[in-house]
Amino acid sequence: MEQSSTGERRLSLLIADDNPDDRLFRDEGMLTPNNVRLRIGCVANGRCVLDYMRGEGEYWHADAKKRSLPDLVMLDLDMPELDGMHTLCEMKKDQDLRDIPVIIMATCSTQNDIISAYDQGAAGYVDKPVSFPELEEKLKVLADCWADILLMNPGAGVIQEAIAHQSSGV
Amino acid sequence: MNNPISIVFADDNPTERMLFEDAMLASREYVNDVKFSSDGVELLHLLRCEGKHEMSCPLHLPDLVVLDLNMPTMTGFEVLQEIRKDEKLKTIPVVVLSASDDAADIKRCYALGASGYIVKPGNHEDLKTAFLQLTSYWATLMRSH
Repeated sequence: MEQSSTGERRLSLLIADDNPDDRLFRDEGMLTPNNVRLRIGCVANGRCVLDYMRGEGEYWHADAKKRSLPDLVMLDLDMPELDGMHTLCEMKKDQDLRDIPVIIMATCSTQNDIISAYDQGAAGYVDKPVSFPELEEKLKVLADCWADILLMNPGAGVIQEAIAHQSSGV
Repeated sequence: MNNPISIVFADDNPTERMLFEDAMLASREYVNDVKFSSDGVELLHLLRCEGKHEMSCPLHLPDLVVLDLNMPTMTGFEVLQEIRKDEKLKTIPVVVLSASDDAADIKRCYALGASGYIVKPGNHEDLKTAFLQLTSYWATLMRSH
């Protein structure tokens, strides 16, 4: 998480949702009650999430090691190509991505969905509100808590090049 | 709109437990039940309905466990490990509340499956605010059981 010169803290969030109506966030992000500027990037499915964070596919990055990772990821459970649960599993298997907190969201979920999300290492599971403004309100609560009191895993956002290099040399 | 949550605190220091109980009063809107365990062993007994908790089996597992790291008989790390290994308990969210802000401790807790890590605020007002945020956060999220 960064802090701007004006004292405004910044938290970056990557959201994957296949419904365009749930991706109407403004470019400047939103300001939470506790003065956190929440910058939100949106993609349409889990495949895009992984490509975006790995700098692959349509998000190919010439220098993959310099790409920036989001502070938080929110995944819709039901998406085409790669759904939320499979994306979560892929992230937890990836050394570079495993430490980023992932929150799963769904419109209708069974008890099993919730249990398996937590079992796969989700940081949380949120009931997707019916209206977009309600979704924004929920995101503000979640963002403030991560910005104010929950400490991120120090491993999150660190591309593991040095570690991979060291272990290959042993 | 949000469902109130139930919380179990595990902390060996009786004074801390009293302060927590008092600070939690500010979070009544989001909380319907608060319990305390004096150490990790008692916490596991409470969750598994063993030992002195054998006859007082809770109807539901707590929605959140708040765990101190530095406890006798069983450290917070060990308790966290036990919870994540236990088929019945492993999906309970566990937030560590510790005096330590050592990056190694934070990393270790997340590696063991902590759902969050909070450095214990230095004064009572900040503790109240932290609990209010923590409880509104978990009341926003859905319970795992």
